[in-house]
Amino acid sequence: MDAGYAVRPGFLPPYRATRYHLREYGVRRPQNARELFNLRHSSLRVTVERAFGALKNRFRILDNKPFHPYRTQLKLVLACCIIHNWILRFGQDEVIPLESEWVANPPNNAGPHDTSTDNQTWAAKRDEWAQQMWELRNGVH
Amino acid sequence: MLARVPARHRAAFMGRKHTTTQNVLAAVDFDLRFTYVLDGWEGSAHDARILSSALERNDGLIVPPGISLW
Repeated sequence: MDAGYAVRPGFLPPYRATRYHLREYGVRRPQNARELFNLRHSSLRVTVERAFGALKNRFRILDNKPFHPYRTQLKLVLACCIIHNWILRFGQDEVIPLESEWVANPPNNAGPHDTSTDNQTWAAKRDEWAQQMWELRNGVH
Repeated sequence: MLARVPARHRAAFMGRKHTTTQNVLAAVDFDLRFTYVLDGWEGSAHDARILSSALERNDGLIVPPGISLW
């Protein structure tokens, strides 16, 4: 999820209007709980990006302008996802991009925002977890 | 994802890109396996609308208790 989504039960987008892409250590360290949360959120999002990257590397048909009827185009996407899963479970993978080499997509702060309001219970959970992360990282108990 | 659609649907499938696209919403586990995929929404559809649709469908995305999607 990117910052274009509202918080819903079970869905935690990053904080809006908060720095997102930084390194945990180095010059631009996270300065507060929200920035740390966004940083770690980004490292999870990379998993999704790599999965899509692998899918398109593996099945070049998905990376080209299709020529099948639309309904078939949809089936092709699902079929490729299923075969991708099968290969990862039973086969030998050759296309998964390395996590260490993957450059995260830029954050989508400019995109259209979810018009629904944040679910307050889950927004509070996000705050609580962000605060816990921050305290653990700083050795505060 | 690039899409080819009949001319009468072209406008809806023109999203942020300069060509026709469809949206693919997916949930992925830590082994990079797809655990839920909803494709077919036109390129101009907003992410939040697609997620709503995924949650409302009979064969939709179910988040198990105790799990959060990020």
